[in-house]
Amino acid sequence: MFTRRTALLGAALIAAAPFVVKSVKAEEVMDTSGAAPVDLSSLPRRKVKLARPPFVHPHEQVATEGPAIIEFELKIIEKEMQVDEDAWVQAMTFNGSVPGPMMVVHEGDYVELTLFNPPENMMQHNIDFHAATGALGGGSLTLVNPGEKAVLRFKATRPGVFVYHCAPGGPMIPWHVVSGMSGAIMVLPRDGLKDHLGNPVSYDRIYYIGENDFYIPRGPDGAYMRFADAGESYADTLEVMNRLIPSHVVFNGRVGALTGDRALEAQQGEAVLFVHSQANRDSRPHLIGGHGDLVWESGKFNNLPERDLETWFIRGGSAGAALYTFLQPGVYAYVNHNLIEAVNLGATAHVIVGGDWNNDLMEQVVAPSEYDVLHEGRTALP
Amino acid sequence: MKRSLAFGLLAPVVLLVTGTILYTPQPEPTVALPETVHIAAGRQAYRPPGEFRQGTRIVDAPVGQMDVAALDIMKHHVSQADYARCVAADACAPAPSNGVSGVAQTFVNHADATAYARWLSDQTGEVWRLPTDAEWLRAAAERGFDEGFAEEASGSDPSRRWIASYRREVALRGEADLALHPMGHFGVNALGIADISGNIWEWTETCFQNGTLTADGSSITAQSTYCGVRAVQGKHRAFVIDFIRDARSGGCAAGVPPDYLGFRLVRD
Repeated sequence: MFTRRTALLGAALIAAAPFVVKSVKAEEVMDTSGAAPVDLSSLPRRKVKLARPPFVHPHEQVATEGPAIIEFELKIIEKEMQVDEDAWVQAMTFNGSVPGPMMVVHEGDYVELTLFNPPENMMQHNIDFHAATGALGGGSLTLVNPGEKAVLRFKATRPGVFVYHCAPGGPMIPWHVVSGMSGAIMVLPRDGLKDHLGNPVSYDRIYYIGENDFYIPRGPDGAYMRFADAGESYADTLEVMNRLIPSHVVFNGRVGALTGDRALEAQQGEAVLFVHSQANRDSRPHLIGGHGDLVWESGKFNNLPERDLETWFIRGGSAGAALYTFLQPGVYAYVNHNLIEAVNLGATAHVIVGGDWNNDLMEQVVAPSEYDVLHEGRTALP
Repeated sequence: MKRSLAFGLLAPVVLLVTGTILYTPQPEPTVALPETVHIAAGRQAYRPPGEFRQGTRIVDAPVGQMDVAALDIMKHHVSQADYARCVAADACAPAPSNGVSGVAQTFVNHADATAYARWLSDQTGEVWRLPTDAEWLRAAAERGFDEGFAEEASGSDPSRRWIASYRREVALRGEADLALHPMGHFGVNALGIADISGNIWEWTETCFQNGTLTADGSSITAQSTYCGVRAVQGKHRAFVIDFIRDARSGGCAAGVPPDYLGFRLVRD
């Protein structure tokens, strides 16, 4: 039977063909059943339900017990999502959100993920964890067709925040990623986070900011094109992707996802950990009016955090973490400090911080008012 | 001035192209008079917009009671078809059009709107101009929003007012609506004025104002205006730089931008 799905898979294979020749070895699907068995039956198991970003599931910052097998479930959902009032994307998602949910474990824990690809989906998917070792990050052990599931277990050996994403081979890799298939995992040191002197630090709130670049084509009338399904969108989207200029750069899947009545909240005096991931493209988070007190710019907790940063760099394909204690109340903008991307393409979040204004930190000494141009302002220039 | 120059340039072209047609003075072009709504003279309670201080605190300007004259204001926004006639006459700058009839002209800045007003005045022999912020609020009637902040937000802590203002704009505006709807989509208000406070914010003549209040807050002692920024009115008041045509990307880092910029005029 020639279904839309087979047609699409066929199209994908044809598109992939020239690439396969040079990378077929790396993309070979494998299994691990022949390797020496490992006995983890003595380890406790815990099942964790994931939260929708920017929120993160409840977790301990300092582990109170020994290593465990932490079970997560991700269901892949292909669906149209609105990116802006006038723009839609045929999104591919982990658990229906862009970005996918953030997982938190401790160093030495085992992550056991069940990946479901429901039968109503059209495409093959998998998952590549940057936190995992071997098998393309798990990608070659988890390629699931619609209607299939796979279970992957990996040991969390390196503490830090890491990207995960779908990587189903060839040109499908970038397309799936820029269609929304990425998320993050945080592997905490068992004794929690430390500052630059090695002293323990903790956070009162954690927000996960997943940044995405979208490449939505425009039709002849100048309006963003809307498609019946992902397959139909592929060719036009690829053309925009290959020019490397995104139509949208957004936090949490759409313009305004973290502003207005969905703005983030905090209180003066609270320490907030902002975890920021970008699976495909460089970003430069900046908190307007605030700082990063302790910033793990490359996201890996065995490195000392940098202090007092104004802007930090997130390399495409990585996650970073910034800890900041809000000192002043008001409205803060958390932006990608490529300001064109922040203001015109969408990469802005707002944080509303309650508290009492501190005039020692900042005071308006003279409110905007007219000055005497004949007598004032002459000493300003050298 | 501009118009006669345009005619001077066009006329020889017409002669060259048509060859046989001799240039004869055209009768004054006429446009249909826009449908207006009459608002009777009366009294208006009005709070001047902008930033006002009492001592070091930002506070609401006091509400003043003013006697106001009768007002005739366009029932509808200026449409793309209306505006296109001004563009064709070389009196207005071109603006985007989606070619659909019965849609308001958007993506216009303050100068575009005032150029249209001049052209319409020329065409009709009447005086058309943008409304002031106060006039717009009268016309908006029950759809206008001119509330002060609660005492809590006018206290000594500047962050309270800032947060209150952010939350209020979010609540007033709701979700952005970036579809260009046919005129009439948002219905008429109590005065019969169409589409006011829909998804098109309207340019006004009113400039940004700074002022200080008396110690008791009852009146304004000093005031200065900056006309590079004008009040635009809709679900909430916004101050927009006069050359901006798309305020979505003309807003500041932590504010709430209007969806579309358009206009309607009043007749003196």
